[in-house]
Amino acid sequence: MAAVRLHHLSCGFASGTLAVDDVSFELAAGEFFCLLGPSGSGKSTMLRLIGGYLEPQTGSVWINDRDVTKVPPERRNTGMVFQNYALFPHLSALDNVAFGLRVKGVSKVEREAKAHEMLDWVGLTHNERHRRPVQLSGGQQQRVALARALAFGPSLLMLDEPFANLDRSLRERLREEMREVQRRAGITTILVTHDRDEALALGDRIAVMDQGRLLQLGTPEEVYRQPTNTTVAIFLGHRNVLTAEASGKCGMEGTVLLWPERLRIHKAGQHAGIVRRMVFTGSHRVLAVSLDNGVELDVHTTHDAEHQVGDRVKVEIPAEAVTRIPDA
Amino acid sequence: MKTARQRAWLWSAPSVVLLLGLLVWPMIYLVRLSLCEGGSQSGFGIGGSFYKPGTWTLKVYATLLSERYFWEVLGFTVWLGFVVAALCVVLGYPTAHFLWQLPKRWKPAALVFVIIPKLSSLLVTIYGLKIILGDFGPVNAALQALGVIKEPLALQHSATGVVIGKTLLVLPYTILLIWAGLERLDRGLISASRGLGATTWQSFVWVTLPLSLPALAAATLVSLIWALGAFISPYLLGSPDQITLAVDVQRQMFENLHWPRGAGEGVAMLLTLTLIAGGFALIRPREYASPR
Repeated sequence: MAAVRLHHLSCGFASGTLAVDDVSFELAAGEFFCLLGPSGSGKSTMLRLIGGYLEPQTGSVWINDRDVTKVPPERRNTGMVFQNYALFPHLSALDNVAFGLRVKGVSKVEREAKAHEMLDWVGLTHNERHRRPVQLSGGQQQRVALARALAFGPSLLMLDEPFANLDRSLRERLREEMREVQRRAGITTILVTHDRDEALALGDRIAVMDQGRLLQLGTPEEVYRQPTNTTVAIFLGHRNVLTAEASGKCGMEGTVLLWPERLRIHKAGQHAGIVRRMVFTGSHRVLAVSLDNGVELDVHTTHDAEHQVGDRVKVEIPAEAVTRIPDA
Repeated sequence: MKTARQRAWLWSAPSVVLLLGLLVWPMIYLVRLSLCEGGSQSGFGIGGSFYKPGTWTLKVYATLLSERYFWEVLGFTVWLGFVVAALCVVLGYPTAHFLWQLPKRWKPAALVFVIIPKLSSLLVTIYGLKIILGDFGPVNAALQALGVIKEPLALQHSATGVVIGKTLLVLPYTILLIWAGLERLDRGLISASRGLGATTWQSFVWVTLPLSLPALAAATLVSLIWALGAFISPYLLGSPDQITLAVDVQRQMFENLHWPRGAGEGVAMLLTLTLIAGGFALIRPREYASPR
């Protein structure tokens, strides 16, 4: 049984360009799925299509083997954490969390008990529960939004860039806490993000999108180690992506990805060049080398300051440093 | 060197002078005038003075308080104010909500439609309304043709006419104020509410409505103040037996030529407005800001 199934989904703007272009995939129950892509890639539109806030032009959306394409959001039973959290400013944190149960007609005692349970879960103190959103910090608001999205027992949790408005250290902590909450709840989750570290760290599987199309789908390791597409490789942060032309100059064929930690620098190697920049990162040095044939490469070395900026060096490209990108 | 605050004062000086000269001073003058003795006793005080300068008396207020006529006029004025304000809110809120929901590209056109009645001359609007509401106007003609009524309804020269006319004149303000309030509301909150299982109606009752209460209260107050000052509608559409304070002030000033009494009624109107606005300030709903 697929928790979510998207079948040839397309959705366009009034201008005629497609925000989502023929996307299909399936999610297994309990899976944590990351939609990764640059802004404008259509990933937020995907969430709005799945949540029912937007109707697709073609294709269908299935949740728990039920076709919900024409079903309004209030009958899809999906919990959503919006990028700006969209907390109700006139309600306390507690009432925000209880809202989903209140509209279902659950009694006050019952829904508040459940809301307290959820807020216990996300770790909001009792004091903070009676404050209104404006009196809470960004991180506290994020927790309330997560609790609210889970409290009414949805069959799917959707998160739209939930950490984008938080500072880095808080982001990393909340990220882990949220993954833990999700794992305990065992709920199928879709996270939309433009942050590749976030997607790689959280996802059971990730899907990379660009210009409305699904470029690659797989486990974080698969997508990182074997990108099938130049755009995916570049978006995942790979620096040494050589076009067919550039790789030809280095004696290889087709588009390739070179792993900087597997390239070697010698006094005598295959490809002569000059060190342009050097950055010390702690665990290693990153050398930006311009080869004489015009190709720019990043090379990682763990050696001591053996080379200086401006040094002439030779780069060896062993076979294990090369991954071919099929550009499918 | 001048501080920013001092500079701000400087810039506002012309409007402060204007306010003092054209609003505050006339009001003081109005109060002073109401404390004078009337000059002319006859209805045609040609040649006589309209008040006796330099005299001090509370005669005007004593007359007003003891006089049935004044209380009837004041009562009708307040009744009209509340009826018109209520109608404006009841008609204006759904309209504003509809306009808020319109696609962005249609909103400028919709805005023009709302303010068109305010761009044309007040008299043209009211005389147009007199034709429509007249005994042989389209409304009565249509109702008679349909057999709903036999005799034409008294749609003008009656309280009905005044209410229709004044509502028409005030409604654009009500709509604009509520609309502006709704536009400040984050639409994402409605999406969030729907996503949590609330129907369109539940979302309206539990999210949109409470968050638009401040705008609703402001719109009600403005409509009320506007309607309490009704002059043209009762003057042209109303019956001579049911007039508002504004109409009576004009009568006292220019027909009865009793300026102190006209001024006294003006003061009474100001006090009524202040009382009502003060009452509203007490029940003003809370404004809830969204984070950030």
